[in-house]
Amino acid sequence: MIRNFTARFALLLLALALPCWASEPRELDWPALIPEGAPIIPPQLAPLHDMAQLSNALSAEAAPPARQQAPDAPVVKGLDGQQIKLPGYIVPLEVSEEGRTTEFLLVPYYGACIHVPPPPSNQIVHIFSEMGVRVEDLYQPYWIEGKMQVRASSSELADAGYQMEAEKIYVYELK
Amino acid sequence: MNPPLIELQDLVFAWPGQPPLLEIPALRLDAGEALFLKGPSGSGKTTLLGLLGGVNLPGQGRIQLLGHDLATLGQGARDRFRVDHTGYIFQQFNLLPFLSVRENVELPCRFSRSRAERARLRHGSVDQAATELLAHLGLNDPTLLARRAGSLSIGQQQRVAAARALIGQPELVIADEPTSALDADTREAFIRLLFDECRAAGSSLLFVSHDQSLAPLFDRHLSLAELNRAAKPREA
Amino acid sequence: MYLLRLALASLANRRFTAFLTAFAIALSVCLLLAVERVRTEARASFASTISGTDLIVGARSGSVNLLLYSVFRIGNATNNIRWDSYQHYAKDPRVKWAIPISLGDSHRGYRVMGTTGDYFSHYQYGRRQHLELSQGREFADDPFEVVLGAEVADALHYKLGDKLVLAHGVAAISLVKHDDKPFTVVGVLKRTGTPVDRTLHISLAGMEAIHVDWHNGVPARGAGRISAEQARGMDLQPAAITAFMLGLNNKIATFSLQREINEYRNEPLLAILPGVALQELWSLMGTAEQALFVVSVFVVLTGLIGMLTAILTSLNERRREMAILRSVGARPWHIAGLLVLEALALATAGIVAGLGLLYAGIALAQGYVQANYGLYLPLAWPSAHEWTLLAIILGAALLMGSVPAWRAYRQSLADGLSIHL
Repeated sequence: MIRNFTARFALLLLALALPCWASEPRELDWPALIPEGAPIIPPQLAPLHDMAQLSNALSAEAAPPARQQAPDAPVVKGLDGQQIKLPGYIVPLEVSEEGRTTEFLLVPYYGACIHVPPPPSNQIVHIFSEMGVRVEDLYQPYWIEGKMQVRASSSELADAGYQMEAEKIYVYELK
Repeated sequence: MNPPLIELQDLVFAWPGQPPLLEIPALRLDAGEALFLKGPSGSGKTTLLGLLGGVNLPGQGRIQLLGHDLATLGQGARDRFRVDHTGYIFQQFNLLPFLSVRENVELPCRFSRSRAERARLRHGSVDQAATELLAHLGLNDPTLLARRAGSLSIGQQQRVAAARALIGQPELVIADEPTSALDADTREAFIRLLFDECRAAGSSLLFVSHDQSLAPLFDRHLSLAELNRAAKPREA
Repeated sequence: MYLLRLALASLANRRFTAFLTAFAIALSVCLLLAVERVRTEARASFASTISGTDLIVGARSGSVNLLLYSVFRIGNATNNIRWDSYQHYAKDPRVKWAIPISLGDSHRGYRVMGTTGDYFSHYQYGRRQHLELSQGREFADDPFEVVLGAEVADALHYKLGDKLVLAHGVAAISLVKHDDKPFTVVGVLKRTGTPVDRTLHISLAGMEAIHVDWHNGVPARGAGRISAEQARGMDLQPAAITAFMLGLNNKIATFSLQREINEYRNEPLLAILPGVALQELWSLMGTAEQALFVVSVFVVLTGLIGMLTAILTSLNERRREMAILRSVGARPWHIAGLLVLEALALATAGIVAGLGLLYAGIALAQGYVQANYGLYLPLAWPSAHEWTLLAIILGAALLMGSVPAWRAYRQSLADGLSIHL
């Protein structure tokens, strides 16, 4: 009797655990979207304190803009089809009548000053959400969960990039 | 032998911070009796009626209604006891002016299941009970029954009040100066009607008034001033 | 419930005061709901005005300003941008489509917009809806053709073939008109519920043609004047436009293109993402909206306190009523319950009447608001949010009702059966 019960209980536990185990999304951070070996341009988030560097910053500004980032940054093809979750800031593209954002770009930082180039294309995710999310504050980061889709570049037209259909969107809170 | 309807023993009552208002060693009312109690205003009769109704509790002594010691019942239980077994008639403004005559009469049955039961048993329905009682008291006109109670004359209102007090055959009817607002002609007629109905229902009547001339109509008459040891002699 | 019957009968006895109280509550509820509705509808209508556009580019000013004048036709541009700047980006391989627009004229208060056929093919609103014609066609080769938005055609009773004269500037009453070059209505657009309905659309050539003899900001006189016929034969390529909209092949390129445009060496340009600019607009309006909401809440509170006062003052007169009820067997909590029910009955009546007032108001004002502010107020059932507000008001009334209920409870205990004469 006891043996039967233990066996059944263990089976039950396993059955319950399996689905959770299988669908637990993989938590990513933004550097994970950049393939190994590709040059990482660290975003300059700190303001300029050292005035000796001022001339460098100014000359960077004076340079022609086309030089400032690659039009088509490389992507990590291995992420295609994976169930992931990623935190980021929402830049709304389409807003429904009820005020829900149904299409947006997810970026690693928001509101950076002009001295910094915008995020390169492998640090932006183009996300669709049928239900949408009500974005009250652009400075609020969110967790996005869903299946990542990677489109490799076909030409110089910068078609490449990360895309996703969001399954879960929830507020990112500091723990 | 039936227990007395009302039995007071060594009752003492004082309002907080004041000298005793009532000191009554004994008072008794039997079933089916009609008792006249002479009590001018200020003699503590209102307080006594309140005690008999279970509104207040005595400081000392015992009040028993139908064998039940009121002091043993909680506030809510006393309220229920009162409506189950007592009907009241006041001097005036007895009725809720915004309800119809019929609805006014039926009020006690809304709040007391036992009275509603008794009314149904005797008359078939609460509605019937109201109609018949009012008819006995001389109010037959159906349109009158549907009218707002506030539109009736004083004499009619007092009779409606009597019907209300009697519906559901409560064991005790307490009438506090019910005829003082009526003129002399209607006074006696009213009392006769009241007696008839009380007898028909088997209810006792405790009639409190300052009008001594009515006393001979009753089985017994007492004077609160004599009963009450705490009463101060008034006569000069 | 018999207590409810008693409460209502008692209220009916005091119907004048009861009516006033309920009416005060009704007015305040109507105000609160109206404010909330207008707020929600305004947001919805703003949100649904533009869709599928990735960047809007204009002369460098503020992002909210650019959004407002280019999409909502509110406010004015500070400067124009050169045609070759537009061409530069229209030809960019990252750009799928580009729509140039030119603003600055009006017709009887409605704004005139010069644009190309791309506007009708690519502009979207709401949920990716394209513009559709209800009558006629888009403007074609003749520069003096105009396509009307639905509201313009309805309000001014224009039909195909009618001629109209455009005015310079955007005031409702214009003093300077382009009356030597009248336009013919060739098309009317279907209603969109957006500012498109309140716009007259002409070609860029047409926009050039009416200003071809305007130098120094005033129309030329005498020999300087160029007739419509002459203008038709001239080269009507615009040198400058007010703004342009871009749709991209890949949305991920949005940021980098935006940054490039903002740093364009040849001219000071500003590129905005409409979604982001809209969000900034919300946060600007947010404070005003909250203030308005708070004021309405206070008005409702005032109405409820009026009810509380009315019930409290009536308590004294009703002591007799209470004593009679006590004498026929009502317990003290029956009395308290009566008063709570009264408060609830008054509040419910006020809420229902308030809703009625709201719907009546919307039915009456719908047309006017739509025509003058482009805001459509639907006659819809209350939303979940509105139901919540009403439930809270009822709850507050319940709380208020418990104050006189408590007083009456104590009084009825103290009074007992004595009926004060």
